[in-house]
Amino acid sequence: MSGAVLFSFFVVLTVTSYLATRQLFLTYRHPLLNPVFLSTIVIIAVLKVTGYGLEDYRPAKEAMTFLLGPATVALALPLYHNRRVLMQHTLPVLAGVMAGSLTTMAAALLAGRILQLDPTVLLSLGPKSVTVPIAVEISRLAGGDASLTAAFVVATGMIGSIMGPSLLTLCRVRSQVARGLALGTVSHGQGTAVALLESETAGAMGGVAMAIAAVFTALVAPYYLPLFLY
Amino acid sequence: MGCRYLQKPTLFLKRTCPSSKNKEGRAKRCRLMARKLFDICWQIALLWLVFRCGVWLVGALHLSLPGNVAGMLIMFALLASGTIKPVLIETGSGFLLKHFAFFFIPISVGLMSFGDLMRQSGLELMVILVVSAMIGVAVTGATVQLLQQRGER
Repeated sequence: MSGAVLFSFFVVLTVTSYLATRQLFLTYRHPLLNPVFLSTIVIIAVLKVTGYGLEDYRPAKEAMTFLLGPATVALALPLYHNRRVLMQHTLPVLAGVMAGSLTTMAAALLAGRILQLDPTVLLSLGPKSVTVPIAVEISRLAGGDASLTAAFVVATGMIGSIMGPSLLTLCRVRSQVARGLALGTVSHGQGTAVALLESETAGAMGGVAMAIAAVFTALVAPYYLPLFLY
Repeated sequence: MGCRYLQKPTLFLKRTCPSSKNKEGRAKRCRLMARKLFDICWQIALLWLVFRCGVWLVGALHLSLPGNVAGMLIMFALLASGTIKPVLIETGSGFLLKHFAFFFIPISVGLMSFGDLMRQSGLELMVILVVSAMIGVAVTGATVQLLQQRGER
């Protein structure tokens, strides 16, 4: 198949699987029916079956993620609508996001040490709770592998958005502010997307958490991550 | 479900779109749809402009901040200062936020290039990722809720 045909085939495939799995999720509302999770499986399966690789998929990927930047900017709107909630809870927000970022990094690195992983893999695990563009930079500065970090970030996004809401309910966390912050701190954009499905407040808090976690992690990671290597 | 960004478009169609049964209604409905599509397009262009400003600012000042987050902070400042009215970007932002999850699908497909590492130590990595994510979610949620309850007392 020629480039253009392949390109449109991948775009149509991605969009249709997204729309179908989204409809499935909106109908049954089960966390395992996560649209990102299901669509990814479908697309990887199609790529494997047809024998195309990631290289063939890349042009379509570049085109489709073009709007991710503007979409992140659009998060300013729910943030603005919820500015009063944010002003009311400044201390819980800051304390929660910082505590969450530090513990999730510490847990990953300690567990990695116990299981005797390679130091490069360990360092790549560090910034896994931060949105992809900054996680990659942190990892590179710390001595990790950028593409591996990107994979961990996406996996963490999926894990948090699939299991996070149930865990929060299990821990009796009912506050929409707390739920949104927890999902955004650990699972960045994907967590924010799930929080947005719960309520507008939760979604806005997810965006807030994502922003604060990104800035905070970038600032502390160079000093914090090496502590777990020796 | 109190989510405005999920329900607004359907509400919009139901409330303001005239019946499609007669010819006049169909034409009016068509105009409204075209108008909405037009709004979405130029509003996304505006968001993209702010995004590029964020990227440029981060590069110029050598900040350790991703450009998209800087763009988001710029947009928030514009909204908070009243330079941009929320209505001005509502339709485009609503569309992007409604389909926010979509953008992570193409990125997630990249996971397939790590087949070897996954076969070698995939289980260990999975355990680490799940455990650390769950600890992070629980700690953040509990901390925020606890501090909130203390603040209310």
